[in-house]
Amino acid sequence: MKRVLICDDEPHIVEGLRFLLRSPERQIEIAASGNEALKRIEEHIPDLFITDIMMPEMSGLEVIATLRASASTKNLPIIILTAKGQARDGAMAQEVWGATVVAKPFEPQKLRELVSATLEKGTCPQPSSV
Amino acid sequence: MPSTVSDTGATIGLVALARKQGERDVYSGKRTWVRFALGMQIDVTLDPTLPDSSWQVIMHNVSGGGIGFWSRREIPAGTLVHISDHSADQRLVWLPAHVIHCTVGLRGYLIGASFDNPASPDDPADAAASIAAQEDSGESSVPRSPRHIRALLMKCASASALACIVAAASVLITIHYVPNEIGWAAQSALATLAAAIVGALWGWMTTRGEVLFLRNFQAEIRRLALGKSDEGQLPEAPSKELAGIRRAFLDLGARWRKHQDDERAQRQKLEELTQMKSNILSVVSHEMRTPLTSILLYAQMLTEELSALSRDDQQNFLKIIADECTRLSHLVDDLLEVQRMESGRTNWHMEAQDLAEVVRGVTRVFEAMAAHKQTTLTVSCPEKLTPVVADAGRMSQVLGNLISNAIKYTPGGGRVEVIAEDRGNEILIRVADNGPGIPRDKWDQIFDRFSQLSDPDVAENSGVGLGLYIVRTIVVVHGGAVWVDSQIGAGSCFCICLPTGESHDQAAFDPEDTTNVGRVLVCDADPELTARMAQALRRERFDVRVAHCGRRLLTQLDHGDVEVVVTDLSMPDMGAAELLGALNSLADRKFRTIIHSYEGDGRELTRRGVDIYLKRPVSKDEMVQAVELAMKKRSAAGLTVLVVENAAINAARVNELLTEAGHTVVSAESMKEALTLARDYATDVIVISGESLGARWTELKGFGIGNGDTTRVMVLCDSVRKNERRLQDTHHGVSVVAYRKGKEEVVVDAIVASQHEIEAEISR
Repeated sequence: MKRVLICDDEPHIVEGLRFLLRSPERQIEIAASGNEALKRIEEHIPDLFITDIMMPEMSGLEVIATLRASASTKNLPIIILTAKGQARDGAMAQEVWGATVVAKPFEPQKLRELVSATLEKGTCPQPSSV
Repeated sequence: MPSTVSDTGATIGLVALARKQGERDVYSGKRTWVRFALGMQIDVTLDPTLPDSSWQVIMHNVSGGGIGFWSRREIPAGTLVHISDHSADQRLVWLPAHVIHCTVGLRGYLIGASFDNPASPDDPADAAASIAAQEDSGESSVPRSPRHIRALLMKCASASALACIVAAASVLITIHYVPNEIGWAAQSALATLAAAIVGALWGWMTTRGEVLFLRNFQAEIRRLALGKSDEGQLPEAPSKELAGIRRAFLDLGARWRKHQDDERAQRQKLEELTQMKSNILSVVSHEMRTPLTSILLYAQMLTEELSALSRDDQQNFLKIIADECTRLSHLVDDLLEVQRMESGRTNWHMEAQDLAEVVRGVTRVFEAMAAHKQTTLTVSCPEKLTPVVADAGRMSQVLGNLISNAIKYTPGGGRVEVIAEDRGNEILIRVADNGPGIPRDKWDQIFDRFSQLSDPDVAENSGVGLGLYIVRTIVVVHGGAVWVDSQIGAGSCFCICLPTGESHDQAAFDPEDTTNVGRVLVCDADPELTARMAQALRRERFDVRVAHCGRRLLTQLDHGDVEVVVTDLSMPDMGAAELLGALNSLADRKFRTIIHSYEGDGRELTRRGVDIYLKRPVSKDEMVQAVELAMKKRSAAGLTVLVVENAAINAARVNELLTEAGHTVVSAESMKEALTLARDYATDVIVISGESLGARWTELKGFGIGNGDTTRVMVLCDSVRKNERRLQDTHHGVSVVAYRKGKEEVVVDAIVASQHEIEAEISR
């Protein structure tokens, strides 16, 4: 059973993603804030972490920086969903932390494929046209 | 500076790349020593790895004259920089057309040059020609003063001549007094020595000051050329000859520095605006993408997996899509609303009404939303409230915004109360919740436009930060105020205070102090600007009313109790000509008019019945001063007299006497200020002194004085001489008054006498 943790403060998007990515061999967990996500990851490291960037309290980039600083989550596959118009943040996350960046609004089918591929390989592929 | 660089007569220097950081040059670390040769080309290629921020090529000459020349210009990558050797021609370093300053130093080196024209001529010959042309046409910014230079040369020549005379005299003295025994050779040697000592002493004494001054002068030129923005010390010139040059240089320096400061300020403002624009775009696009993402996600799931979805899921998904669409449409509405309000195109339907119905109605609308979150929503409002002149639709919008915010930010199961209170001269409406509260430092900020732009604490789903901005704008247009009171963890309370019709009648700003110094009507299409002006005037105890369009302005004036009108010329519903015409044609006109506008000819406006013209931007103080003056003019039927204060007259005494006689006095500190005031204020008499007239006479004439205008000019002088008499004879409207210190009554009498003349002229 693969575990996927989704972190976004938009309830509609989180619920939509849970529905979109549901599968019998996957367990999908939700975190509504960066702090909650870190707490959950500390308890149990998931197989894939999907996060938004612009969130209250703690931004997605801060969460990723914290994760990459720890040895146990250094190679955790991460997908960033961002609606932020600034491509620079995404590019930085991709280059520095090896996360895959997906711009909102995204095509649901492509995201589903990306998630499947990532879970299969255990690492983040570079996105082609997501 | 490496010691191996020797002076070979050619120019050896440093070519480096540098970037401005504040006042400092930061070098890129790539620098080269070069020997500049005639016609040589230095290939400057900017390293693409350098951060992209206006790199400059800097060339320092370190050989020869000590200070050397330098140049600095911004260059695009890969530019060829052309350097000529100036040992062949003193001015061969080509200079662009706009030379700020250049000085030829010792041994023909250029010691200071700064460029401000990025387009440089390709051919040095062209440059030389353009400089020559500039000097011929007298456009060169360094004034030439051959007379002064000649005087300086004369000084040097006189020193040499004196040395010769002293030499001859000492030869004679030596021959006469020194005993012949020491021999002829010794005699002449002694004579020469004496002559040399006297000559050197004399030369040193006469030119010491000049040399010192020139040294400082050189340093100052260098400071200016290097773009040092502060003013250095340039000591007093030792002689009359140099004082002229010093003055010209200081003037040039001041202008150049001002120009640079202006440019810097403008650039900074532009950068801020650009930054703001891109922030707004980024936030707005983010706000649009979030709902779009949800819509796309659910719509695709519905189309692709319709059969796999339960009926409940389908319905739920459709509901989410509808909600997100509503959210998008609200965002677009808010953006449009703000745009409309800022451009003054909002239509206001102001009518006297009882807000009790609005308060109850709006609360009822939000009952469902509150129930959904299990939040208790209560309303407490008297049966009837004192009527308020308001736009009912907009007030519903304000209340709706506050109530929906309160429900949104208060966790489920919370409490939201709407309380309306009638205080007679104002209505107070409060929307209180027991939500998380707002930190004190955000209390003002939350009402700003795009307030959530740079606030990381604000949740993503809370919007762009336009809601409260719209609330504040609407309340302010109604002459009211909105603020928040909050305690972290205990909740927030948003308060709106609206003046009732009664408070207008009472004309009181502060209930404790009911003295009112006059009724002012402020009109501008921009509600925020109007509110700011109204606030500044209310603080001065004026009773202020506001209007936002021409028609509303005229209706308010019809009531007949307005004393001063402050208005912009361009109104959303009326052109400048139409507005001025309407103001003039109002029957039984008792008010004074102040126009504040970006565009407008003060002289022309004052001819067309405007009392004061204020060119925007207008400071609060200027505005208050103008309104006070207009009030004074309204109560005093006499003349408006502009007195230019200077040593010739005791302006305070004149002011006192004229005010006693029922006239209004405007004072100007200088002739320059007086000229502006004469143009922008409807002035009947201008009092100036003969000494301050000078070259300004033509300017005064330029305003139409003495050309059929009714404005009188009264020139004060010790005794009326031929020149003054001619002025009086040739110019209609000019009178010359002999004035002696302490005899201010004479001036006042002359002004009173001219009153009859002016009245006769007007009636004609």
